[in-house]
Amino acid sequence: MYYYIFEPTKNPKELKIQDEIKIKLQTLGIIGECVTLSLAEEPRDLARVGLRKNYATIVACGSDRLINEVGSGLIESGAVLGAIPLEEESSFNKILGIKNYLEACDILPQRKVMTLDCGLINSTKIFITEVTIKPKKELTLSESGLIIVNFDGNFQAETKLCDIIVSNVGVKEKDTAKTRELLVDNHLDVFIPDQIKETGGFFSKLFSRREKAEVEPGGGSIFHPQRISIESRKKLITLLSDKIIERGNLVIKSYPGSLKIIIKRERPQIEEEEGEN
Amino acid sequence: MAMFGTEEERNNMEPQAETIVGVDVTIKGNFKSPSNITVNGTVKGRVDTKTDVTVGEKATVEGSINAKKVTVSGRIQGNVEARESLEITPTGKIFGDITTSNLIIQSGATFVGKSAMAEKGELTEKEETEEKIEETEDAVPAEEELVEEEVVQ
Repeated sequence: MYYYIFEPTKNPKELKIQDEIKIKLQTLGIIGECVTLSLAEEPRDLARVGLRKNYATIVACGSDRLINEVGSGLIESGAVLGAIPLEEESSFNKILGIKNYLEACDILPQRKVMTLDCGLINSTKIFITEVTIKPKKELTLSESGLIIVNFDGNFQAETKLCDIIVSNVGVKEKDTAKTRELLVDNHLDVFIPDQIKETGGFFSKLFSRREKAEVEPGGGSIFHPQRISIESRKKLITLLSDKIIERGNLVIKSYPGSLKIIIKRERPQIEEEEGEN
Repeated sequence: MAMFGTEEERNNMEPQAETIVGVDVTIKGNFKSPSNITVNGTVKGRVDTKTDVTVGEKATVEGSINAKKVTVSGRIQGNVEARESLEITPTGKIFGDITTSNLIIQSGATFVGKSAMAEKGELTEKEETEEKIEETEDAVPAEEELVEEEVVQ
């Protein structure tokens, strides 16, 4: 049986989508216990409630953040994570191999389970997709700050403070097959963008304002370590979607084979016969 | 897990995606990657890969490079060992010794050091001489002049 965790709705449109999903699940014959996250509850704790009730499949329905957090409650539990992503540009769409939330419902009863790596932050926090590490406060021009990233204990990268993305699913990877390869490769993908160019004039600099700040398109560094440590004298925060999940310096490593998730069963490729018309 | 390999296979997997050092990043230490490396920033240390290294126009490498193919458009202060080929483009500068089986130095490039040519796959059997043209005749296109030890723009 399935245990469904829904995100609280913010507007009638979201409520309508949730109703549509519940009807779809009923039609598929896989409707189970449905709970909605309250503001005081952590998704991870709610996932563990499902485990205590002996549900073998816990399904998260909502944002990428919710799915990540529910998944973190299932690490090494043996239980399987189902995901119904509701964000339009959800990273889970490419992981699952689906286009929308109705298709996400369709793949649940098919029970194609994949074991994937997760990212482990400071040995306590888990993410499936990606996190962003950034300075707590945006630096003004009069301030300077460095960030040092150590890769696998072999070499280190030094750069000015910026937003660093640590991903488990590739940086801007669109292809499902490649994404799934990255999910089991026991490596992380680290993206450090090129610095923002300051184009403000003298008075902007005088008053430490940023004007027309732009990141050069496509510029940046990409590394593929198994483990990184990130240090700065400035205060750092780690964001999962828009939620702060860690503060200060940190160590992130790949946590191989730690989570099971239901994905779309790929159709066997049929070679097209070359026929004469 | 048959679809995604055994646990041992997973642990031995190496990322195939390219590693890029951006313009604002300085790398310190032994920079090693199983996949292609593009350096657009600064590396202070050894660069090592089984595949290719590209040193961009604005890049600086202060250390040796060991790779299959090396293309240099920036500045290298150190020795380069390219198992398959080494190309120095018009903006490229190498201050150090080079070893390769196929050397291409484009007009305008700077190379200050010794070169040793090796048979493909036999880089350990180096025949080190000081910039004799005979050495480079097989590997370098006829229009490129390698008589001078230093090719300065």
